Amino acid sequence: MNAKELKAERVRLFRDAANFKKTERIPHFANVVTWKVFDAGHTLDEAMTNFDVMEECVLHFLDKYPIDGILDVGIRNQFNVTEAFGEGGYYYYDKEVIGIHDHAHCTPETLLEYLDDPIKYAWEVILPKKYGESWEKKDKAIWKNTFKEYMAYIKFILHMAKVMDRYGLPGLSPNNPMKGAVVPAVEIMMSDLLGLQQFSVAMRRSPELLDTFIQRWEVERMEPIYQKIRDAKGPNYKYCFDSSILMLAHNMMNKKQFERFYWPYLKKLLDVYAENKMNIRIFTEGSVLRLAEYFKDYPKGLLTFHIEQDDPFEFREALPNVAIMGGMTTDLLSNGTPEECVAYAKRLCDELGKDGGFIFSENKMVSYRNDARSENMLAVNEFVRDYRI
Amino acid sequence: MSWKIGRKTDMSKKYTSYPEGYNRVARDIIPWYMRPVKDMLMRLLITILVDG
Amino acid sequence: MLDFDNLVDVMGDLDEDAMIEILEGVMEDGGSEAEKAMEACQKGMEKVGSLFEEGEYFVGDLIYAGELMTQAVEILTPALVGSESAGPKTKMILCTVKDDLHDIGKNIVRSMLEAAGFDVVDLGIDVAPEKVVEVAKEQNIKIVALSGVLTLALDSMKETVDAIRAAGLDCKIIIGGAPVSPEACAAMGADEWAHSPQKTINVCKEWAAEA
Repeated sequence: MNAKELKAERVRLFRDAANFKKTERIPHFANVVTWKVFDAGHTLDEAMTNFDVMEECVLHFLDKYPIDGILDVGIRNQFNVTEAFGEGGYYYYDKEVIGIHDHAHCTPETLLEYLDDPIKYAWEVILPKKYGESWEKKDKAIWKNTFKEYMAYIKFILHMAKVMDRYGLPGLSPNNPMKGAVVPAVEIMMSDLLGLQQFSVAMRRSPELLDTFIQRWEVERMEPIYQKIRDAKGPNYKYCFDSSILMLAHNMMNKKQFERFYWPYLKKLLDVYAENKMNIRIFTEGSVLRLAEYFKDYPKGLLTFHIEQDDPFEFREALPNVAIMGGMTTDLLSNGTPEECVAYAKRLCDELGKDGGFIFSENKMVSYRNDARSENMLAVNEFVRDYRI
Repeated sequence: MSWKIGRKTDMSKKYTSYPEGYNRVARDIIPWYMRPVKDMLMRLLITILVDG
Repeated sequence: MLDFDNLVDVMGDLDEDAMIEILEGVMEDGGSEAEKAMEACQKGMEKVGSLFEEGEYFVGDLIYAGELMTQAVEILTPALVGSESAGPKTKMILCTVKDDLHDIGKNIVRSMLEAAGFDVVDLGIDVAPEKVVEVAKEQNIKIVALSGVLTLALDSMKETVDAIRAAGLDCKIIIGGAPVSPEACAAMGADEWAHSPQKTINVCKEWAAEA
């Protein structure tokens, strides 16, 4: 099978599993991020600033572990661009650690100003705050150097897309907003615009403001996307899923808040995908089981939840109509023996995948050195590749 | 919850007016042969400078 | 006569305007009943905790409750300073462990622990194991709560537990936050683990009662 055929075959495997069709083997999607840097014998500071090193780490991972899909091929390191521009990066890293400094771009007072014109808001409010008042008047040489690093970054992204093709690895979902990459209003408000603290307080203190933002977001951003989805008339077989969204904001919300700020809009989105016989993957940070009732009536094949804290077996019982991605715990990958890891992987495949509806993956983004032991990762990955139910 | 994935600032909205300084910067940094995709390039660059 | 039962309810309902109105009423005579008002706020926070356990409230509500409690303390502080009738409180350490900068979960837990009557020594974020050991020794602290969000925090938690044990300190240790689990707790030799702030509070209360 050549790489192109392999890619098509893997897309089929993922889509069949998500659609509760019994597949000849369980597909494996590696929820692996920066761990591959350590596994290749490098440190984070080496890989974060040097695309050659990052590529070497990605290739090391792809050659060593048999997987069918991967979350990240090292293309999230934009550090060279912001560092060329100067102080002010939100990310920090050293040899072992990577993290993000907490930030909120807006206050409740400026939330709608952002929506009026995000570029203008970024230019006039966010960037001066981040890089200093005179940010835009920076030396021409600094701007040019930033642009050079930015072009190198884009080139790396394009290059790694070719690497994925060479390995027959399909993309998870379209990353173009007009083809299905969507961000629910509450998620952007919570993660970027207001931050957890202000968002939680605003749900209580200024619920009408959040309503206004959400409704405008729906009309101005989501409606055109819904229309594109309808126009597409069916699945996009270049990808494993027609869309992939992240749910994090529900972790802050009580049920009444979820019903007011989240569910009506999420439901609309899911309904559009359902009408068009497309599928969607939802990466649920934290736990989503307490909200199971909202998702229980959707037909099999629409929803795949990548679960983090929820127990996969309880999840299957509560939502037998929803395919599960995940299951393999980093706890076990880091503390268990290869035998224990394989035994658990077998239980996952047997109990969750015997009639389809299961995609093997790690429950957390495998990021740090001790998130997994190499021998465990290898044993589990080889087992999943070779196992036939 | 260790990596900020899928939470990038959304800059996809079309806009009609440019903030002051935007065009000067774009002219300074974007080579002539890339001008047809100027806005796309600037939008992504701003996103990176905002989020990165 | 001020209606403190009403204050308990108002706090429990997270009704900010009503809370401020009552507390400003309390302070009208200089705050002769400020201590009773504080107790009522603390009882209100217990109600918030119960509603969280019942699933009525969620994390955002706890963050908001923390905001309200901070406001209440600010309003009442002028009258509370110097008051000693509260009696001795159990002192404990709380921090986010080394290499982790997340503080929202920690801050929620702090405001609820304080509302439950603990004297919380908050060491902040990215705290090295040696610092925890040093403070626990100096202040003879018997309860340590370690918080973290990154999976990386598990390593730092383990280092901190090891350092406390190696120093021979007789401390009860609870770990909390997204990455912790019963398995992680057992593997690192901590005494308890929690995903919810309410469990942390309950466990610490039990430990304080035992001591």
